[in-house]
Amino acid sequence: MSFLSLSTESVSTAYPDQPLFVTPTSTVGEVLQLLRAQQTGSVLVCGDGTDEGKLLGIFTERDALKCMAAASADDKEVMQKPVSEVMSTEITSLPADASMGEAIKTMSQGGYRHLPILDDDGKPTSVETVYGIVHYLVDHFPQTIYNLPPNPRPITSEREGA
Amino acid sequence: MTACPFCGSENTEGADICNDCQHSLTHLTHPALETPVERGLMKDRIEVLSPKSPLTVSPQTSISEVLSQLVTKSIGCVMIVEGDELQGIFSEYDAVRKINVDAAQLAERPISSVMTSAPITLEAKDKIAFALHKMHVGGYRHLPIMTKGKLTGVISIRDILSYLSERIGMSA
Repeated sequence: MSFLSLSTESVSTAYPDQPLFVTPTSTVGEVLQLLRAQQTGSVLVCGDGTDEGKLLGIFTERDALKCMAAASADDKEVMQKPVSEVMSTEITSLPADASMGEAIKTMSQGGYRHLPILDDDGKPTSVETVYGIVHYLVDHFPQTIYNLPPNPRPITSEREGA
Repeated sequence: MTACPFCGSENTEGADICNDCQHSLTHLTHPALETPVERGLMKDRIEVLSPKSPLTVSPQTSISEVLSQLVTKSIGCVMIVEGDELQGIFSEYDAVRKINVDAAQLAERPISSVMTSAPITLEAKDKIAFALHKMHVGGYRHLPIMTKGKLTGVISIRDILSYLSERIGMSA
């Protein structure tokens, strides 16, 4: 069993996801369908043209929920809006050389589920998710988690003994 | 496979003696020492995470009503309850998967048409390791917590993450 070395291990060991990119002019409807098709929880909104590749905002399931709530409450236009109007622009991100410890701390203190990882030029290379971190942690005590029985309270159908 | 420390030949995992040199291998298979985190996972009960009381709605509640409640209360899931019985759960994930761009058309439909029915539940007395197991293996974000068969709380993957990060900080 390996021991946790949170301060030395890089965040890239904790199963970061490939990021999904959209342009700021994509509509909310397109982004929602992309989230469903790709079965992920976030897309990164990156600039095109002059500021190509620069991270402008993040659009997560939470933002998607707000748009859906608005749409179901008679806001007909929301699905046609460009994603740049509804994305979160205050992005908490991690540098590529961040340690696991920093990633876990940032995520659990801020209550985030997705953290973009940026390279030296400020361009996003991957997205660290809370599931990746949990996966990484479970990898360090697999016996405790994977060897559990499926039912915590097994019920014997018949009384034991004669 | 375990390599014999005396002659180097490969032996089946858990073998008592080496096939080639007959040296004893029992000392190799002593269980590894548990870390405090692992002990905690197997010892602490889900109650320790103090499960939040869930937002509950009836199966007939409209989708638009549920969506607006999720947004205004900034929470990620509702429990659908009929009488005392848990019927289903509806989370952000269900919203993205089943409602998506059709939010306006589905607005008046009952929530029971898009909920995930018969969700996996755990008891408040169960150990945290089981919650982590269910969430990690099943890919769930929320787990309803029952006490004596009645819905009393909900825990999220964030509760688990903050529990783990506190413990890891202590032992690392």
